[in-house]
Amino acid sequence: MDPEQLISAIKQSICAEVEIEQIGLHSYLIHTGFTYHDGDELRIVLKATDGRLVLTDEGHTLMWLSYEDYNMTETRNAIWRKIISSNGISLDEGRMYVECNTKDVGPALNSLIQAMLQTADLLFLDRDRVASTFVEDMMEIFRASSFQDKCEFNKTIEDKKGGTHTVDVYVHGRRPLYVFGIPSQDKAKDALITMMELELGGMTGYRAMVVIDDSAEISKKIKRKVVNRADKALLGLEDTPDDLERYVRKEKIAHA
Amino acid sequence: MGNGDSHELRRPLLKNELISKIIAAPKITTSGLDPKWRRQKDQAHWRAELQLECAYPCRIALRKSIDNPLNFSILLIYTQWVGRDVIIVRYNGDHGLHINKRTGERIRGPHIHMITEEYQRHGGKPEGFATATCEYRTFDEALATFISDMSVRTWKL
Repeated sequence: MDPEQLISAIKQSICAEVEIEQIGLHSYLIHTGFTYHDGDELRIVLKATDGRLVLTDEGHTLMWLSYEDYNMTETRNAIWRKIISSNGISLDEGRMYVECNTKDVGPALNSLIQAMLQTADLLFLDRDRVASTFVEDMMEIFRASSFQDKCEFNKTIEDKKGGTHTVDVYVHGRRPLYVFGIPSQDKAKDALITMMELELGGMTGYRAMVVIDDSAEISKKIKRKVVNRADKALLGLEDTPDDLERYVRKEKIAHA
Repeated sequence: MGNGDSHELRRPLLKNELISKIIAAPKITTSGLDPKWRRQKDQAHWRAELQLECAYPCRIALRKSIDNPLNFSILLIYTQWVGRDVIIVRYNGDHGLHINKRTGERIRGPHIHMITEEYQRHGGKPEGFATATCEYRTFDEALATFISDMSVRTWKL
């Protein structure tokens, strides 16, 4: 199919006001009018080789996100993977792409546009939201654990001097486990203060665990204080299910 | 893009006068102009940074697409305070169209983004305004233009 025939077939499939600009022997820039938040148009390139069509962002969306102080945290990455899979998009080292033929290039283009716009929106998944998602993700691990029936969430504890404190997860046992999810500097400070207050409040018969988002921007000093104050520290959520089960079993926390 | 607008509006406004002062201020790069490029896992671009000595704390950030050498960005980033970085200008290569959202003006080819009071006030990205440029086409030409426009000098011990 020559370029003109190809463009005509594509336009027929897309059924929308798009402009197709040939930029290489077998590549075309698709002007959709959709933009990132700064007004730059979504970069979508159509590559046509051997009767195979591929629509790709050439990795531009992630490059666009990198202009800002943007970290692909574990939580953001998980959300991004969901965006990719729900739109039927494939990944190649940061490039979002979708394969199609001349008949279904329209729906394929729409899927890619949606995935690119949703990915760009990750920029606005601000620190507070990321923080809350991390704690939620951590809680999910406890909900799926072998001792799920021993867990309480966002539990308020009263110390021996009448002070009240909240822990993210409370695991019942002879020596209960107090768990603090730490996705940010502020939450690290809160957890540190709570652990100190619990001690001042005469609480001794418990274990404290901190689960720290290892991609969060937490000063070394605060992180060190939190880790040293807790009985057990886990970094990131990736290994947490196994480590958690092992720790709870070894310390006979929920099985006492 | 409602979330985006509210996100940006929470930021304190950077006045045009201060923006001009940051751009005009002499800047010295002690590490020279030979960026150390690195590629992050699962990213299809190169990135590098050049630290600057300047009356206004700022640095240069560089991005280059692996797939298309004409798709690049050179940014001047001002640190208003620790944890609060602001993009002052961004020299983009030819990645396609840019649309100035306030006027609908469409720009093709290389263009220069700049933060403005107007774009900060109306939400979206503060550096959403851009002008077309014929000063460069390649990354090296853009870096030379940027260095000249931003009053950057190199200084090596």
